[in-house]
Amino acid sequence: MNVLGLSFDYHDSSAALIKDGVLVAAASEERFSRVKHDSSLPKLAVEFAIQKGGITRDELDWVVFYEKPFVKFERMLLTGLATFPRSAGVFRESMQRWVSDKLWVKSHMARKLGVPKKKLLFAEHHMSHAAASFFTSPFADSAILTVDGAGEWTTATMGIGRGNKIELLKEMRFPHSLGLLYSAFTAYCGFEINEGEYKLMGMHPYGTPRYTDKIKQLIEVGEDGSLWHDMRYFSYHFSRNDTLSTAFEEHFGRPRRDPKESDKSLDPYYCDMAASIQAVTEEVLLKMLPHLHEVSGGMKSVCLSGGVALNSVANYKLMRDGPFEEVYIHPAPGDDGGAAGAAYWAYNQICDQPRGPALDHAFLGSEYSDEQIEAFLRENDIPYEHIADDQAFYQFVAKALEEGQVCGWFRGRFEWGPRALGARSIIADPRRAEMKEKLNSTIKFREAFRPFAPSVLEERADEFFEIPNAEKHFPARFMLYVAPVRAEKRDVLPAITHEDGSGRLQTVFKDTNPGYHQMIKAFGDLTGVPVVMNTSFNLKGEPIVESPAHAFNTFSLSGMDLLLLHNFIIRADAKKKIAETRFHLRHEGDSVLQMVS
Amino acid sequence: MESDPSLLKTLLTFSERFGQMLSRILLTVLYYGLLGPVALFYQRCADPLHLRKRPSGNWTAWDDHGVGFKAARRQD
Ligand SMILES: [Fe+2]
Repeated sequence: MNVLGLSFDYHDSSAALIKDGVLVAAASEERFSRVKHDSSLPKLAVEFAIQKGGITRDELDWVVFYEKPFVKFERMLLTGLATFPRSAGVFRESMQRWVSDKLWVKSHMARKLGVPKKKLLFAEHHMSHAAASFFTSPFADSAILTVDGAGEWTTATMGIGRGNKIELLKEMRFPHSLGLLYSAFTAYCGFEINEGEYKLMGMHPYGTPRYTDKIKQLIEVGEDGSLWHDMRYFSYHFSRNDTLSTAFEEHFGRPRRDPKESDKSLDPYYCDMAASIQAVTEEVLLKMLPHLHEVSGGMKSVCLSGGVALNSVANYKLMRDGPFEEVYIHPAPGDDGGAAGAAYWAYNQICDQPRGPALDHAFLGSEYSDEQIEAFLRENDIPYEHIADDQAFYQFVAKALEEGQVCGWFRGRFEWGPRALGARSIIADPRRAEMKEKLNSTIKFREAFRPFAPSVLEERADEFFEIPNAEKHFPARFMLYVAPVRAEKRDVLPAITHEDGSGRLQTVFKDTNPGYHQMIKAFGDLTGVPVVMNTSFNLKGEPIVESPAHAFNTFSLSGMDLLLLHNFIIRADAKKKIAETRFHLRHEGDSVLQMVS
Repeated sequence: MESDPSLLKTLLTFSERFGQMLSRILLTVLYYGLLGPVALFYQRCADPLHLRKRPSGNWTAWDDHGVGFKAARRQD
C-alpha cells in the first residue's frame, strides 16, 4: 500500500511517502524550490517522493493532508467574532486568503497532483504530529505529548499510542499556547516569529532567568501543565502584525527590541528575558509530563511532537528530569513532519495496517551518484581530485580538519527535518576555538552568539557529553538534545561548548551513517577526539543544499576551504559563480497573520 | 487586430488590483454590517477563546472529529 502525506499552506511544505509501512522518502519543498520556508503545494517534493518510491501517481492508494482546513476556517471565523471590532484587519486579510485559496485545498490537490478526489484524506493537525512521533518510534505502547503554536484549534494534546492506534485524550486550545507564548517573546526580543525561535534559545545561556515571575503574571500555569493566557497582554488573536499588546510592554517596563538591533549585539536585558521564557517553557513542560504519566497509567515511554519539541534544551531536561524512562522525537517534529504523520495516520490508524520499523535515521531525501557528481563537475569545468579508496579519503578529510580547514560535506541522501546530520553538513575541528568565529563570520554570516553543534561517535558520546547509554536516546541521533559537555572536556571542545557548558550533540551510528561515522573515527584516531563540528550546509537564510550544484554555489559564496562531494575534492581556488543555482537569501519570518492562520 | 501584450498585462494587473480592492470593501462591509451585530450578541453568550479564566485548568477533552474512512474524507 502506498500512502503520500502532504503538509503545505503554512510553513515548510513537505511530502512523505510510506510504502507498505516503511517511510521511503520525505522532504521539504524548499530544498528543491530554493525558497526558504516554501509553503506552496509541494509539487517538487511529491515528484521526488514518487520517483524515489519507484511508483506512479496512479499507484498511490491515499493522499493525506495533514490538517482539517474547515476546522481551521471555523477557528478564524469564531476568533473574528470573539475579538470584534479589533479583528477587522485580520478578518479581511485572512478571509481573502481563505476564500481565494485555502478553502479549496481538496480541489488544488486533486488538480495539481492529478489524483482523484476519492483518494484524498484529511488528518487532524495534532493527530498528524502524534502519528509522526508514535508510529516511527521504537515503542509498542507509549504516552504522547504534542505541543506547538496552533493547529486547527488545538495547541497541545496528550494521548496514548498502543500498537497501530493512537487515542488522543486531552487538548489545549487556541489562543492558549506554549508555542505562541514562546513566539511572543521571540518577537519581544527582536527576532522574527516562526524563524527566530532558535536564536532566542541560543541566546538564553547568556542571561539569568530573573523575569520568570513577571512572565507568570501574564499566564496561569496549572499543576497539570495547562496554560491560560491573560489575552489582554497579547494581540496575536486579532492583529495582523503584533503578537504583543501595549500592556505587555508596560508590564515589563521596556519596549520590544528593535529587530534591526537583534542580530548585532547581546543586550543583557533581552538575554535575561530569553533565559526567563526558556525557564518558564521548561517548567510548563515539566508539569505536563507528570500529568501525562498519571493519565497514561504510568507508561514507561513518551513520544514528543509539535514545534515545541524542537526546543532541544527543554527536551534534554524532560528526558533527564521527567517521569518517563524513554523519550522519542521524530526528526521533523514541526509541521514539515506533519506530512509523514498524516501518511502514518492513514496507513496505521485508518487502514488498520501493522506498524513498520522504527525510524532510526533521517536520510530520506534525494541523493546523487558518483557519475552524476562527476558529470556536474566536468560540465561546469570545475577542477577536482578523486580518492577512490574510502579509508584513504576519510583520512584525507581528518587531516584537513586537523589542519584547520572548513569542509563542505555532501554525501548520500539529504536529511528529513531541519537539522543537518552528516549528509549536507559543513564540518570543522571542534578543538579550535577560532572555528566558531570563522564559521559565523565568513561562512554562515550569522549572529556571533549562536552555538555550533558537535557530531560525536555514538559509542564514545558518553566520554564527552552527559549522555549515558547514548545508543538508547533516539532524539540525540536527530540533534534534538542539548546536553552538558563533561566538565573536563569543555576545554577540549571550545568551538562547540556553549556559554553554559552545553552542546547540541548528534550521536553518529555506524549502521545508519557509515561514511560520516568512519570519517569522524579517522579524525578521532588522528586527534584523540572523535567529535566534529557540524553545521547545516547553507548560508544564512538559504535552504540547506540539495544537489551538487547548490553545494558548489554555496561553497563558492562562502569562506569554506574544501568541498567534498562524495569522494570528490574541490579546492577553494576552483570557486566560481555558476548561473543556475539561485536561492532566496533572506527569509524575513512570518507575519502574525501567517503564524496563526 | 493583434492585441498589445503590455496593454493586456496592464489591464490584468488593474483588474486584479480592482478586484482585491472590491473584495476588501465587501469584506469590511460584511465584517461591520453582518458580523458585527452577531458578534456583539455572541460575545455575551459564548467564550470560544476562553478569554475568561476557567476554574479548573485549561485542558479539555479531545474534540474528536470522528473515526474511520468517512470522517477521514471530511475536511471538517
Ligand atoms: Fe503544528
